[in-house]
Amino acid sequence: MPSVPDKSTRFMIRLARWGCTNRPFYHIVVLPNRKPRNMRPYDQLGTIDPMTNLYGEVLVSINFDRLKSWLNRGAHLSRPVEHMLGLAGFYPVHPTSYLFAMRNQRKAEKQKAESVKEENKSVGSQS
Amino acid sequence: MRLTRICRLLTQGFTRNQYLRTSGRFISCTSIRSDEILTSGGFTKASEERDPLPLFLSEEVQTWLQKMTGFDIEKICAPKPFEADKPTYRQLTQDELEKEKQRAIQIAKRRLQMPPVMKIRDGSFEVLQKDPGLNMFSNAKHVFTDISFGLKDRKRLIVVREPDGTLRTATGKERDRLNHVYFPEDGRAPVMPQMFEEEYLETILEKGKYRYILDRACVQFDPDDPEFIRVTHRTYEVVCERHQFDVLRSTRHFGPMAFYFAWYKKIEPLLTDMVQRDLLTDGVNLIKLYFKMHQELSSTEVLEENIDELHIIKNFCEKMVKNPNYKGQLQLAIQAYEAALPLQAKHSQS
Amino acid sequence: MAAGWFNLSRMAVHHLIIQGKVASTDFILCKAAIWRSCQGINNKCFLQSVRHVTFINKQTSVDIWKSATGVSNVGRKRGRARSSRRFVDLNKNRKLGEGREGMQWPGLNSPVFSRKDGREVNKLKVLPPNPEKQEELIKLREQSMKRKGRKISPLHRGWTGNKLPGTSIGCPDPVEDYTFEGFDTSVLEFKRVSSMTGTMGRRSRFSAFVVTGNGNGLAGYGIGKAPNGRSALRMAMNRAAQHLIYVDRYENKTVFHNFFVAFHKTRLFVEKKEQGYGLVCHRALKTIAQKIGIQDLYCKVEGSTRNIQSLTKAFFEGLRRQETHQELADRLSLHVVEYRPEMDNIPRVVASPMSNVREKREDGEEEVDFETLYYSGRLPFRKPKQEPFYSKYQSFERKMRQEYKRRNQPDALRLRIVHGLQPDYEVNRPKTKKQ
Repeated sequence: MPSVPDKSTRFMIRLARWGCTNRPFYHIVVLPNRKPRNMRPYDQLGTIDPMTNLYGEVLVSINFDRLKSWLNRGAHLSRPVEHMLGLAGFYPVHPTSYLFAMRNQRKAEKQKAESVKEENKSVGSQS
Repeated sequence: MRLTRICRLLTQGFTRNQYLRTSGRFISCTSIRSDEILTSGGFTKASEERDPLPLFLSEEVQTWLQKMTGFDIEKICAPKPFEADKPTYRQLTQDELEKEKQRAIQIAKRRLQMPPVMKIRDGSFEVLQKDPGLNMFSNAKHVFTDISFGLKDRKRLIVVREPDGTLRTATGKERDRLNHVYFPEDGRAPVMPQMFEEEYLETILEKGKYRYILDRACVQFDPDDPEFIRVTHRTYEVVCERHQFDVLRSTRHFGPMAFYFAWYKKIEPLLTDMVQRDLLTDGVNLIKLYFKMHQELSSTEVLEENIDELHIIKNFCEKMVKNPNYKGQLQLAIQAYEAALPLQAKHSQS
Repeated sequence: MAAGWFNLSRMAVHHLIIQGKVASTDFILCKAAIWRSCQGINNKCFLQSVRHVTFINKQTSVDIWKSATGVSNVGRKRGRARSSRRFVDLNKNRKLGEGREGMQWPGLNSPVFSRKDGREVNKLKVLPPNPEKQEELIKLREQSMKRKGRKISPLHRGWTGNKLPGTSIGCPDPVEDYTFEGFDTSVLEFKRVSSMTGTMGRRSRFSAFVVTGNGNGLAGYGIGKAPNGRSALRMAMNRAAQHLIYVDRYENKTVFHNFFVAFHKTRLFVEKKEQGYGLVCHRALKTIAQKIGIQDLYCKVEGSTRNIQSLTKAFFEGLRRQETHQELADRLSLHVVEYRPEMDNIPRVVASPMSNVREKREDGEEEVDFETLYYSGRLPFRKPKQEPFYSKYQSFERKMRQEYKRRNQPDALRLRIVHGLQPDYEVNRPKTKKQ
């Protein structure tokens, strides 16, 4: 029987969603896995603001000093956090990032193809 | 190595206060090392490749600039425009008074710390990683800031992951902005105040508020910011035009101003002012600085040995000054000084 | 018209007379005229059975007034005359022959013989009616009846209402050659005092307490008593001018140091304040300080706060007793050093002793606390700041927690608008269901 990892006592470095309706804002926090999402954490390591600012940037702040110390103490990371750290260059890029990229590329290609089709149609109808 | 030691010395013990209270925020420059300064840029123009910072930070130059600045403690610690409590009084013995005076001198010296003169920064960045597989992972670029405790703003790691997958360091402008988001400086505006825009700058300079502009520029910008350099250089030019150098004496801006004029080979008006005010030692120091900066010029004719200060200045005027206007003014000043010498001697005798 | 008067009851007419709307003489003349004009007419409706001669028109207006407003001698002794009505001269501004009906009575208010010929006799003439005449008369009468109150602009008003204390009464009278130029006097107290004498009974006088000063260090106070208010003020003003003292001020703005001073039951704690603080003290002390030329001061009055004379005397005594910085330096043989917060608290020597300065302190000698040096061992009571009654309520704490979340938002919004970074929500607002 493969053993199911016991996540109940794991420290997780994960995201706590703050902000308000239609305006998310995430705190990167350290908490045991089973605890409520927005409970007061052991430590806060940073923030993620997923809504782009005036300059088209998504701002992520990470306290690498504390992050390293928690990792040394055996904290696990949740997938979104791993994704972010991969993008930051601290960790190798996460497979999910490539996945998102691939999906978006395909979507873009599809849209492009459709727009080309429409153009051809209109050209065809004209001629 | 010597450079980093000097930088460290310069950053000791300064508090972050509102700019009104300190009349100028001190800029920390521990991380200003020539190898860290990004690729070529100029002092004002990209064409110039010389970096003024090492020269500015050298001991000899610092001493000269400090001497030229002067030390009028009443002006350095002049009353600031904020609501103050009533004055307090103490009764002191002679010994205690001397100690207090020393303490005052230390306070004043800190106020005279000069903002470093640096090469202009350009919008260059370093590409850390290229990953075409990450192309279009998101619409927006992601900016990652290291908010570890104890880091200096200039040393803080700020990287940007572009939508096409490139990971690069942030440009100077981006760094300023991000540092303001997470570690706002007291007195710094998030967007450049309108006061520094060219037309408004002219209005304020017309009114003669040089100290105000320069102090606020020190708070708002980093010393290698193109805006800072533009504002300070324009202010120095106006001061020169109006011959109002004395306004900046005993302030932290006099040193960088003198450095600017020496760098751009325009020391004659300042020299004239020094002669007019009987500050010949300052004049000679300025000439020495000039020759140190421009090694290609021979200083042997001017800086002969065993001649007094007035003669050095005279030599400089005759041999080095090309611009007829400046030459005329300087000659007049020297003549006036010489004419006043016998009167001075009489006065000192009586 | 006058015909209607016949129908008024006797009492109604009496009231009209009292209210001054009708003069009793008016009534008689009118009736006589109408009676004469009706002689030729056999008109029964005018001939009512009315008594034309009543007590109202038998007596003079003075007598009628007396009956309405008079107080007996006994009553006067008991003080009943004070609140009685005043006599109103209803015939004021009226000429003989004038009335509600404009008539020209030859021989009374117009000549008997006409001016042109000198021969023709003027007839009775009815002038065109003047409806406003009565109103004019009433207006004039009311004007003269009104008590003239002093109308002072808000800037020149005293401490309260229409009262004298706090108001300025000008310069003292010149003494020989010296005109008190630049001096202004302010009334501090103006009251009516009385004493019981054997001969006259209660004798009341006016007592005026004033302070005079030139706003530049010279000031003095004085009392004057006289039966007449104005004389009392004048007397006080001149006496104040005779008793001037010079008050030394620090930088012409404030006192040299904090001090405590008492006179009888009035105790003052005076504190030196920085430029721009203003005069935060008892209104009387504020007035006095303005006359002396002190601009920044704090003073706490303990004990008797209403005894203006004690207050003034205490204040002047304290100011007189001040020790300048130079005197302090000479007394202690030490430098007096000032530290200003707006000048980075660098030491600035304000006074050095004339003779030798002490090099070192004696054993066990501590530095004197300048703040409390002149408090004579006392300390002013500093009231602790009272928290509002709701500060401990749960609802308030809840509110504070909510507000904390938005703590920088108003300022951030303002900055965004200033820099043009605030999106215009009115234009881009998403349409809700209600709309």
